[in-house]
Amino acid sequence: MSRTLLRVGLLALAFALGTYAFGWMAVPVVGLVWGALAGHSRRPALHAGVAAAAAWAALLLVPALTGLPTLTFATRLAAAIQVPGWALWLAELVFPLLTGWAGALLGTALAPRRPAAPAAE
Amino acid sequence: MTNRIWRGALGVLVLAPLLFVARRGAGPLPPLGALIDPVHGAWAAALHARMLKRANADVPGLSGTVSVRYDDRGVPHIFASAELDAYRALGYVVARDRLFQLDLQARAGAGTLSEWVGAQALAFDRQTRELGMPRAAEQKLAALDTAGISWHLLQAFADGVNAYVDRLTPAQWPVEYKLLGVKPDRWQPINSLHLFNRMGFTLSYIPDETARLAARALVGDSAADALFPIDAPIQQPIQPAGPPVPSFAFRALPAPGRPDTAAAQLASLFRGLRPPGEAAGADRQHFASNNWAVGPARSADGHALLANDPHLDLTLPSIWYEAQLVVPGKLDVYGVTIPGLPGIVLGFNRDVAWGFTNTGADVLDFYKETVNDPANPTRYEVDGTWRPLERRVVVYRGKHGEVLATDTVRYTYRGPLMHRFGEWVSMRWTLLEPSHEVRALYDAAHASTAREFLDVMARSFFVPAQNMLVADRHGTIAIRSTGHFPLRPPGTNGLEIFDGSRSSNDWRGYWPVDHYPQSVDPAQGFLASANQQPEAPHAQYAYLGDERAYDPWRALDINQLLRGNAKVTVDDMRGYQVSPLSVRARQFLPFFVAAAESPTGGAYATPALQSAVRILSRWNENYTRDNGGAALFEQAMQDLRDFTWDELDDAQGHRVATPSDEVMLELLNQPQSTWWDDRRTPNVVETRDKVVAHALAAAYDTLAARYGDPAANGWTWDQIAKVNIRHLLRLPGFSALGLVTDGGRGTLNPAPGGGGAGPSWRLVVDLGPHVKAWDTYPGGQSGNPASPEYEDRIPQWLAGKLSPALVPGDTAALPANRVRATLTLAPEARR
Repeated sequence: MSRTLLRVGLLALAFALGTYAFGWMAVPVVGLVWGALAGHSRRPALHAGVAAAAAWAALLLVPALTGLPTLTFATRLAAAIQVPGWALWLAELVFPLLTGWAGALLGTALAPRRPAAPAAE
Repeated sequence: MTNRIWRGALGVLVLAPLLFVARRGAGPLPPLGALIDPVHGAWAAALHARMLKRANADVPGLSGTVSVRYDDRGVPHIFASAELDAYRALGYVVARDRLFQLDLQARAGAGTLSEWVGAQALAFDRQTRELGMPRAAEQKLAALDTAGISWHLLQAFADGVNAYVDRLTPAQWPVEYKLLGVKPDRWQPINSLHLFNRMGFTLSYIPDETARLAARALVGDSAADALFPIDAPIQQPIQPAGPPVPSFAFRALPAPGRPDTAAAQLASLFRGLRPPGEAAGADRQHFASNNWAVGPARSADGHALLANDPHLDLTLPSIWYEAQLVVPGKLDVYGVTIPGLPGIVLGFNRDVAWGFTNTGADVLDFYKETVNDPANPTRYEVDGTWRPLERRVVVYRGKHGEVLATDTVRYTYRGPLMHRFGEWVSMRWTLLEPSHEVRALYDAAHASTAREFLDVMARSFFVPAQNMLVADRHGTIAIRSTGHFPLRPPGTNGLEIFDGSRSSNDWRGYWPVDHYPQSVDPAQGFLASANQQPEAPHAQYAYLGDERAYDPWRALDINQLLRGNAKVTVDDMRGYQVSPLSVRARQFLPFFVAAAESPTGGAYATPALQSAVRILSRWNENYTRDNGGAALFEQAMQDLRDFTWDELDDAQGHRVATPSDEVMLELLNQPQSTWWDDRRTPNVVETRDKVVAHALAAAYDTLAARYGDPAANGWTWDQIAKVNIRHLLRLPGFSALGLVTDGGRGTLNPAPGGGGAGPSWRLVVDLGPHVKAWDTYPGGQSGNPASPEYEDRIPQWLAGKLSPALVPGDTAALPANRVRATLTLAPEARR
C-alpha cells in the first residue's frame, strides 16, 4: 500500500514537473512513458490517471495557498466561459485523469514483452 | 497478445479525441489544453495577478534607463531622461497592463476582428472597411514626415509595446487570448492611427441625414424640418459672449404634410448605414460628456478649477489608462490615455489642465454619384468628365485563415463609394482626411498657457471635433470647439444628399479658426460644455450640425449651478459631477400633473392616474437610487413619445425616427397642435392633455405590471436602473453587472439607456501654484480579470468619490509608502 502511494506520489511529481515545463502535452507523454516502463506492474494506467489529476490539483491549489487569487478567479473564469464553477474544477481533474490514463494504457501496449521465465526441468 | 491490442486500441480511442479537442478545440470551444492547463492556460492569469515589487526589462531603442514607479492606485509614474524614452516606456507599461485591449481595439479599427472571432464579426469588419477607415489610417501614416515628431512618437510607442510582447511566454499571454485561441500580435505604428479612427468613428459618425429624410418621406419637408431642426429649441451655448440669447426658442410646429416620395427614395439609400447592431432611431446622445471651469474670481481658493467627465461606453478594462510621464525640464504630464495612443488624451501638466466634450459637429456628407456601369462601376462622372474609381479588393479571413468573404471597396476622390438599393453614394468625412492628432496630444502636453493649448490643438487636432476646455495656472479659462468643420456650398447644409456629378457641391474648405465657437475668460467667470449647441444660431459662422447631436439639459443644469455659486470649491466640482438632479424632469413634470388634473385628462381619471400624480408630485426630480418617481417619469416620457409621434410610423408600424425631448417640449407648449391627434383612432381627435394623461396612466400600469405595487418599493430607481460595465468580449464572468448608482437621463451624472454608458472618467483639477488633481474611473488599471486592480475603482466611482492623484516631479517626491512596485527599463544590452 505504502509502495503504491509512494509510486503515485512520485508519478504525480513527474506529471507536475512535466506540466510546469512543457504544458498540458506532458500529461499524455509522461503517461505513455510510465505505461511503457511500468507496464508489467499492477494497474499502471489507473495510477497514472490518479497521479496526473493529483498533480493538476496541486498545481492549482498550491498557488492559492500562497495567497494568489486562484479560487476567486476560478469563479470569474467559469462564468466567463459560461459553465458552472464545479464543471471547471471537474474538467481540471478529468482531463489529466483521462489523458494520463489513456497515455499509460497505450504505453503498456507498447511496452517490450517481458522475457518468458525458463521452463522448469 | 490480444489483451495488449485491446489496451492499445482503448488508449488510442480515448486519447485521440482528447488530444484533438485539446489542441484544436471543437465547435465554439477554443483549444481546451491551452485553456485549462493549470500553469500555462487561463489559470496563469491568477499566477500573474500581482505585480512584482521589482522588475527589470530591456527595451530596444531606449537612450537611457527609465524608472517606472507604480503608486498604490496602480498608476505608473514614468521618469525618463529623454522624451521618446518616456513614450517607449508608456508603450511598455500600457502593454503590461492592457495588452489584449490594445490588440482588440486595433483590430476593431483595422477591420480584422473576424480573424479572431470568425464570421460573427464580419458585419462589423465590413462596415469598418466599407467606410474606408483602414485605408485612411494607411494614408495618414504614409503622409507623416519620418523625421517628424509624430512618426517618432508612433515608433517609440510601438517599440515599447513590442519589447513587452516579445518577452512574453505563452503562459503570460492575457487570459482572453487563451479563451479565443489566438496569440498577441506585434504592435505596428499604424495601429495607433486605427485607434484614433475608431474613436473618431464613435464620436463623429453621425449620419443624421437618415432621420430627416425618413421623416420627410412620411410627413413632408416642412414638418420634418421642424421635427428635426438644425438649431436646438433650447439654447445654452458654450460661447457665452455676444448678445443675450433666450434659452427657450420654441417655434410653432407645422402640421403633418403630404408624404415626400423623392425623400422616401433617398431615405432608402441610407438603410444599412447604421453601425451593426444599432437599432433605427437609437439614442446616440449617451455619448455625451461634461466639462466646466471656473476662473479665480469664482473659486473659493482663488485658483482656476477644471472638471471633466467624458461619457462613453463603460467597459472592463476601462477605455482609459492613467499615467504620468516625466522628463525633467521637458515634459511633465499626467492624465489618461486610450491604450494604444502615444500620449495623454485628457489631463494636465504643471501649468495647464484640459478636458473634452464632443462637439457633435456634422462632418460627414453623402453624394449620389453617376457611374458608368451600375452593376460593376469603374468610373464616375464629375462635371461631364469620367474619372476612374479607385478599387480595393478586401478579403475577410476567419480564425484559421479561411476566406469568409471578399468585397471590392471603391473610392471617389471624396471618399468611399457605397451601393445602396440600386444607387451609388459616396461619402466625404473629415475622419478620412489628413490630420495630426498625435502631434496635437504631444504639443498639448507641453502647453504652458491656456491660449497656447488652444492654438496647438487648432493647428493639429481635426477630428473628432471636441469642445476643448482649458484652464491655466495664471487663472485663464478658455474653451474652443476644435476640429475641421466643413464649409459647404452656399445655401446648403449637411442634411441633404448632394449631386455628386457636380464639383460645385463639394466642400469649399473648413471654417477659419477665428470663427470656431470659443470663449476666453468670459465676464461670467465660468465656462461649461455638455454637448449643447456650441453657439447661438445667429452667432454661428455656418452650418455646424443639427439638433439631434445636441443635448441641452446638462448644460442648463451646470450653468445654473455655477451661476449660483460665487465661491466654488473642489468638493463642489466633484459634487456637481455626480448631481442626480434632472432639469429635464423639471420642465416636463408640470405638464403631466396639469394634464392629469385637467378636464380632458379626466378621461383617464382612474385610481392609477391619481396614484401616478401623487408619486410625481412628491418626486424631487432627483434620480437617486431610493426614489420611485424617476422610474415613473421615464416610463411616462417613453409612452408620451410613443403616443405622440404616430405620424412617423411607416406602413409596417415601425417608427422611422423620433424627435428629441426638446422638440417634445416645444410641442407641449402648443396644446392645440394637430400632432396630438392619434391617427390610429380615426373617430377621435386627441388633444395634448388627453395624450399626456394617457401616457402617465399607461406608465403607471406598465410599472405596476412589471414591478408590482409602488408601495412595496419595487419601483425604486436602484431596482430599475442598473449600471452594466461589460468586458470587451462581453463575457459575463469578467464583467461588473447590475451595479447601482445615482443619475439618469439628462442629469449631470448620467446613467441612460441600458446602463452600459456613462462617466468613463472623472477629473477635477485645482490649478494653484502646485497643481492638485482628483480623479477616478469605473474599472481599474489592470486588464487582468484575476488582478485586484481589475475593477478596484468601481466602488469609489459608484459612490461618486474621487481619489487624489499623486503628481511627483521626480522619484524623490513620490512617498516610499505609496510606491507599490518599481519597474526599471534599460536599453537593450548590446550583443
